[in-house]
Amino acid sequence: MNGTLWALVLYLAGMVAIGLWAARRSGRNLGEFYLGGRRMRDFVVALSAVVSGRSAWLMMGVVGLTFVYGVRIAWFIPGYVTMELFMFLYAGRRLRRFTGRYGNVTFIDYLATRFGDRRGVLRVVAVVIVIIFFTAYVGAQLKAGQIMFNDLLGWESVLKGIVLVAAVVGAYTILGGFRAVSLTDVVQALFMILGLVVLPIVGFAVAGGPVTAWSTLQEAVSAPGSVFELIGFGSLAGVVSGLGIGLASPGNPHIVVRYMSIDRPERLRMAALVGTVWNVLLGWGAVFTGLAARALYDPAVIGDAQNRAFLHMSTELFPPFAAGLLMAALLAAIMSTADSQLLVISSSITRDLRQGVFGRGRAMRDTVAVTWGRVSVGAVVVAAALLSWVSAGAAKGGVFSTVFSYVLLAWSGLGASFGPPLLASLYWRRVTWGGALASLISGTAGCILWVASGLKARTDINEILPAFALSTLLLVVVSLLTRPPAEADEFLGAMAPTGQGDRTSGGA
Amino acid sequence: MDIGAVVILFVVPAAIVAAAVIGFFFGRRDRS
Repeated sequence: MNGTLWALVLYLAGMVAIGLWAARRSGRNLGEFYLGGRRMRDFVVALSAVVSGRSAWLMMGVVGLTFVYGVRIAWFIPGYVTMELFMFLYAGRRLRRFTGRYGNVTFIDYLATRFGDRRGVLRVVAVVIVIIFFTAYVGAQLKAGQIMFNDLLGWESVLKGIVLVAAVVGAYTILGGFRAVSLTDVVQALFMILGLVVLPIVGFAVAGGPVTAWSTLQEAVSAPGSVFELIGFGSLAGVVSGLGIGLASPGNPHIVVRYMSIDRPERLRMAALVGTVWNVLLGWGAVFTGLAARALYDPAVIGDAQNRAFLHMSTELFPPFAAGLLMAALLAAIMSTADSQLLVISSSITRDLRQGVFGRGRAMRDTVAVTWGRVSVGAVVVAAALLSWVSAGAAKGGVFSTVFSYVLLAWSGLGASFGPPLLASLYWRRVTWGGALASLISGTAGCILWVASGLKARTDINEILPAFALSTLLLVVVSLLTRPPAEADEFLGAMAPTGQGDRTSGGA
Repeated sequence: MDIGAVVILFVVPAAIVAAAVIGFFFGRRDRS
């Protein structure tokens, strides 16, 4: 076995070991399995929230697209980093206080309580949206893993890489639940920083140092325009679209649920600082990695350059064991996202569907509930692997030819569906159940239709902007036409700081 | 030197980190 493979095997074994360790506590009840008992520390929440949101999209997509299209891809970064800073500092704290007081375990649990969803309609629609987008999202991560293993080890099979990544992520998530997912996220955050800081530094050094590399980049011409052209894809739409990606952060439950898990709401201030520094290093690290690759190589020489820039650079510049560690960084990005998403789908099935809708809110025995949780993680990981396997053959050359575009649809769909109701629920007294339902449905439909109708390709505007706008419009209009919940004042009051330093641990 | 590239590559990330530092030190604290 060569050094690269050794590094990867050690990394994967480490992840499963964390799952085994966390399994001791995770089986106690659903609150432990899905939320770590609301006892997570600030730096764990900070790193976990950030790396759960940064997937193969960043390490394959942003690196590869910067390599091909240049600096304009950097417009994708500031929108979500700024939005997540706001979430940590303000919205996250309000959400944590409310969910602690009402014992909400899942994101959908929160929406159902806040909007007074007595018949379970909102829950069912939300669960369907979660299943549609997250299964595709996890599938995209598995596909990225397959590309990596095939590239690195020369595997021909499409299935082998998918199965390997699915098996490891599935194993530690089933064993250790939220605690394992959060702790592996911390280790994975360290690997990702290692990859996205070391790789550009070494890349620029090999390219003759920063000054020489900068001149090389200025001379490089990519179509359309130079590497330094800022207005993305030849239009202002590219810049606005890039910044608009940040609108989706509040609507991605696998990120938002992290804020709910912190031990004390006040500690989200420290999480904001740590998380933002990490987010900036990862985001701009990916851009600089793509630029370093461009100073070294011609995109025309590397096959499938939009997906393979990171892989190519790692194996070309580093000895096998170090290259293996960099591959582990890529796997970390893939797995830190997939594991959080698996838990969200599983929690939607167990807590929201089985317990909330079919069980009419009656409590399940802890052992039965956790078994449901574990079995549903297993079922979802198998479904995502199958989807990834089927689409690996079908997607070549289509709109989803890159991991980037595949993930963007899911990210935007969740953002447009859940983002407006979540933000309104935290700050707007007048928002209603009907408004939230209209927003969920229109956000999902708007996103899918924008891509499927070809409007995205024609206008260069990412799906998040029109879908988010439509979803917000319907949220406001329907809310104003329907009766506000009687408990609105009480609910908003539950989000305000308490006099006891917010030591709300909540139950469940 | 391309000013636009310098802004998006260096100024914007520095400004965001500065905002996080300000938020941490001067952001609203919960009463305790």
